[in-house]
Amino acid sequence: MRYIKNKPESKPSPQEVIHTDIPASLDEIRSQLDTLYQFCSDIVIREFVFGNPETRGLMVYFDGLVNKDEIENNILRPLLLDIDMLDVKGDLTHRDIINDVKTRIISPAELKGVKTWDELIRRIGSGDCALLIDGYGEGLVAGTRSWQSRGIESPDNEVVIFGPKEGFNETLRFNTAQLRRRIKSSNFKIESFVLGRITKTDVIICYIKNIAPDSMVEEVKKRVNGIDIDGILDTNYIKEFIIDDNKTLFSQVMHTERPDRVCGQLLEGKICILVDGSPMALVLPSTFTDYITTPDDYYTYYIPASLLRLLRFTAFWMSLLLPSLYVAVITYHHEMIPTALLLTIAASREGVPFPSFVEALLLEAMFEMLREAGLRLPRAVGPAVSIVGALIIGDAAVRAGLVSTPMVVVVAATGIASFVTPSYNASLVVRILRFGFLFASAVLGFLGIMIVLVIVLLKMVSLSSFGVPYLAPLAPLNLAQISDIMVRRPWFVNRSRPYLEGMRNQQRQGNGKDEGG
Amino acid sequence: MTRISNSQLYCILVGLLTPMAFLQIPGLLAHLLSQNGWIAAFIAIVPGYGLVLLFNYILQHSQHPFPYLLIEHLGQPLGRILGFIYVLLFLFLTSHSLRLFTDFTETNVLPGTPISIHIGVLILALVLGIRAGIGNLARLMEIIVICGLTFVLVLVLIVILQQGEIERLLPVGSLNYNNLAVATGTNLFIISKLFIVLSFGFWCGNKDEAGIVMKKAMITYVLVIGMTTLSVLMAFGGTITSVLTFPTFSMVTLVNIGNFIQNIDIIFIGVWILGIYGIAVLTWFMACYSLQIILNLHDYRFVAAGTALLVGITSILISSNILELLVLTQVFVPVLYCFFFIIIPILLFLLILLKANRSSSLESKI
Amino acid sequence: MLGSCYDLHEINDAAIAQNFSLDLLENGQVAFLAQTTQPVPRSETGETQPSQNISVMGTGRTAAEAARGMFLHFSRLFLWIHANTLFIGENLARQDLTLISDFLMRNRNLRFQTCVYLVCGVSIQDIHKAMNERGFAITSARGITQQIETQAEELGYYTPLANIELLERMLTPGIEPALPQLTVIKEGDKDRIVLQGMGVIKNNRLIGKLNPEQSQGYYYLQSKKKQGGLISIAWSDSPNAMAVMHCTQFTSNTRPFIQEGKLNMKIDIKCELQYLETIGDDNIYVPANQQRLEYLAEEKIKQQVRSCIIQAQQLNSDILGWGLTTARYQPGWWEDMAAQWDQVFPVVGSQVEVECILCSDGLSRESFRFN
Repeated sequence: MRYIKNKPESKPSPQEVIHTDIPASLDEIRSQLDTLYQFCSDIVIREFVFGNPETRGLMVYFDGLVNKDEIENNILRPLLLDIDMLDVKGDLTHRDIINDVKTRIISPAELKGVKTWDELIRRIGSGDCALLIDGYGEGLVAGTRSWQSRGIESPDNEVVIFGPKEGFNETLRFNTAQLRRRIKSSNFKIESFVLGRITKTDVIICYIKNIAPDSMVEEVKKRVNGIDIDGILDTNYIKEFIIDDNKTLFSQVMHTERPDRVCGQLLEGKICILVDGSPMALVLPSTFTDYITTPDDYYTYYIPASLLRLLRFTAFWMSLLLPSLYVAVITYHHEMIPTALLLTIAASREGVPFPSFVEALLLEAMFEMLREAGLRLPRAVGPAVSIVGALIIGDAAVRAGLVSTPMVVVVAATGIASFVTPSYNASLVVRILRFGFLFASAVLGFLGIMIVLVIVLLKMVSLSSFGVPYLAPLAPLNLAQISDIMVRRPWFVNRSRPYLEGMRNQQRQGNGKDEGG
Repeated sequence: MTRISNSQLYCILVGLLTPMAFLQIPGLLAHLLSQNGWIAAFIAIVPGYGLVLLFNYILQHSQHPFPYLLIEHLGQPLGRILGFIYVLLFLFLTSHSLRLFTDFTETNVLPGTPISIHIGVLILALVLGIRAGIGNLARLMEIIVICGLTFVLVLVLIVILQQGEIERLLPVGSLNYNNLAVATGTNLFIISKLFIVLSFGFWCGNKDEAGIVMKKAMITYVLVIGMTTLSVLMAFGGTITSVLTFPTFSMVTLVNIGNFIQNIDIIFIGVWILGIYGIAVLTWFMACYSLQIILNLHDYRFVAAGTALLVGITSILISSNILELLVLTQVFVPVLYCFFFIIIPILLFLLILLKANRSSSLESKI
Repeated sequence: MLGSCYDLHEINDAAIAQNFSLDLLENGQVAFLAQTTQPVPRSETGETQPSQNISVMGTGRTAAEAARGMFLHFSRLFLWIHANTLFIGENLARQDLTLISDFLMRNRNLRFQTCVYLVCGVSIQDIHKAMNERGFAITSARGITQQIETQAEELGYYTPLANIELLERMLTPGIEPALPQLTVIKEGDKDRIVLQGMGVIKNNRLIGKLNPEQSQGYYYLQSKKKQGGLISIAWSDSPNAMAVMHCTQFTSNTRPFIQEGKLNMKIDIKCELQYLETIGDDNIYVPANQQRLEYLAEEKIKQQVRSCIIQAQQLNSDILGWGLTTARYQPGWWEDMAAQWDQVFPVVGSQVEVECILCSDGLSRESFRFN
């Protein structure tokens, strides 16, 4: 029996503590804090005594996440020094100390009582500081968030000529503030969630009530609430959980760094998701046409904007199909090329050792490598590498007779056209599909291209984003909306919002319901 | 079953009627009526309207979509057996349209590529289409029909403006009435493919409006074939058109825009493949869906892969060459259309009418 | 993967056909001669090298056999579809054009828009030799297409004929084809290809020709392009007085009418003219002179048209399509008389009405006078 002995009463583990309420005894609080934040060098736990009779208090926060001046001036100073000047007169006997502290003594603008470790930990992790008073199983959490963050900058990936230049940054509150500044209506709702078992990341869902369909808002909340993961570090984590079809290349949720774009989408009844720590907003539902349009369209006079949109559509098709069409035409359908041009192409291909398909494949692959290299290299070196790669390798390859000049022109034109697509996600899909079309064109020429196009279209029509068909308003056809896709409809004609199932107020101008607030 | 909109139903019907006819019918009409071939295309609107009324009557007086409709009106064993025969018919029509397309491409575009490769690739795309479901197919058909009709319109306009000589349509009239009847009948067989509305009509937003949609689809078909025949005749004249195997295709070879865009045959075939895809996927869908109902299966999507082999082998074995295939197309297939899409619906119509009369007379007696 | 691409042909492994020519050899075999342009890569400095034309010949019992016969001594696959001219040798044209018409109609690689010419006085080999001597643009088959289009606009002598029109005219009762003729003339040590008259076909055989004047008349009646034509007339009593005018546009209508049981054709031509040059002392801006000029131009065109009609009726070849016109506008009459058209056509009466209007005078208000 010597092997059987009573187990000594062991200290509870952090996991056990976290799910318990905050104890009343400050010693116990201190002990549990030590358990929770063992080996956390950035935690600051400051014990002090205040009032008359002396009451023990404890302040806890993370160094670097809080505004120390605010803690000192609005919390510690009133408790330690100014308490005598108040009519509380220091004698706190028989009084509800915590209530007096909250309502009469300390003065942070944002103050909230919390009773569980779980919430307290999350709040101080977000940059708040917690005040715990002996004898009360409750902590006061003061909003003292302040940390070094990137300023509001113009997004690199979504450059516009006209219109606002501000972009989101990694701080959620700054981002919501940018949205609120643009949409002042009380119907603009921002609902908070906390996701990530370990990261406890703040996530918000925003929408305009009465415009965004209620059923869609509920569906988004349901899907977001259903996420159970240890950490959320970017909006893409959420995206992959909530999209309708996750076995496709096509992005069904739009990413954007631009608050003005988010606001534009919110006004069309869409919903936005923002995550603390990420400058990317998710906008949903999103359809294919969202990837071809840019906020600039709406900040430019409608006639040039419409022409530019047509140009963008052309560039989109070019970036998708140009190399495959070229290969199909010069290997299968020579009759389509005017004779003089055909002679020029034939002359340039004399002596080229590779079949056209291989030539196109090599050049495309090389171009993609150069593009990736340009992105990943330091900014000072990236453009230089791209230029050196494009010019020198291209020129050398042509001179060496490895590739033909028209093919270089085709690949370069395709590359330029792909940069015209405003969305990086869409451009990525196009880049991948381009290779598929290239293979098809090498096997069956134009017929192969068309068959792959049918398959791609079939996939696209099968997709939906939160119930909205991906190719809407082209399929299913909506004549009223399609005019705002091919061209940019002038604002004075744009009287209604794009229809979403369940949208209560579709009217944009005149005769519309008052949105309130 | 997924709901489809009226415009989707319209696109499905136009997509089923037009593409194959666009290639074949103008030549056939010119062969029968020379420079007056276009008249037969427009005359077909009259018997076509009769067919629309026929299908609409059956549709409005039935409770269930085809082929369950057969069981509803003909009773359990007969309806089910007939439904199974329709399954075979739809499978045959799928194979036939696939083969016609592949033989056409083999003759005119890729003569060296074995038809088995064409058929294999198309069947892959078709199976994916059926597995996507009818709702998604309806959306795809919208894109196909918009592209196709736009292409036809542009093509016809270019040919008429560049090559058209209105004198080639002269003299108007002096028709051979036997040939006119045959030509109108040929158009009617194509219009009889509206039969599938007996299934699709039940899935569209409002069954009562299916008749209007059918009318629109029929008029679109007549306009497309009429205008194409007109443009072919204006470009080649009656004599040449009646000699050419596919005058519509030959017409495409005449297009020349600015001495740069020329010989766009392959673009035509590229757009046409969309139409053929539409026809094949819809007839195949009808076969799969009918089989689901007849055999009480769980889902028609699973039948697609199972019948793929059958469709593929049939389309290869259906004929040994394009000559046999053309005979099959011009003789055997119209007979099938006539029997299954016109005679049987007429019998159904009479049966429903008889039942309705009997029940109303019973009611009056009571 | 590329191994399974059954129809793949790299462009640099193919020969781009510019022309193909057909003739009958003395041994009864069909000769098929094709011209291709050898692509020459640009130099590193970007300078264009002159391209080389070469012709390849094959023979066989039929056109198709002869065309395939070329590959016994030529390695590259011909892209026929780019050949925009077809030359038919005189021997073949005199023998029977139906020997090649099915080949022209059935072959998917030959275009309906290809321009057809008759080679007269020389063989197709001579024409090819002359074409290959000079560069791509000027005398190659492509240059000849431009040549006939340009002369039609500038001179209005010869009417181009496309392959499909040749076939249509051969197939359709009541119309016969007339083809522009090419020949080679020696200029020093150089050969020059010249357009010379139009060959008249009857029952698929070459039976005669139209001289340049008759060809001009034919142009007014049959050209699809209703513009072009040069009219030179001596317009006053002054010995050197000449006026040269250009027909900027014209319309022509031929309508049949029955008079006293006999078929007649009423031909209406309306022309808009522009001065190109006037020589002489009289002032052309006097209304009387203007009217006189217009009258003289009308007479000139009438003469050309009548000359063409007379030649066609003499040859008894309905190159003017009067039978087809009758079938279109007098179908009842045509039904009765179609079988006897060969007897009727030579005696069909014609009324030619021409109306010319002088519309433009260029940059000068009067004829140049030396003071």
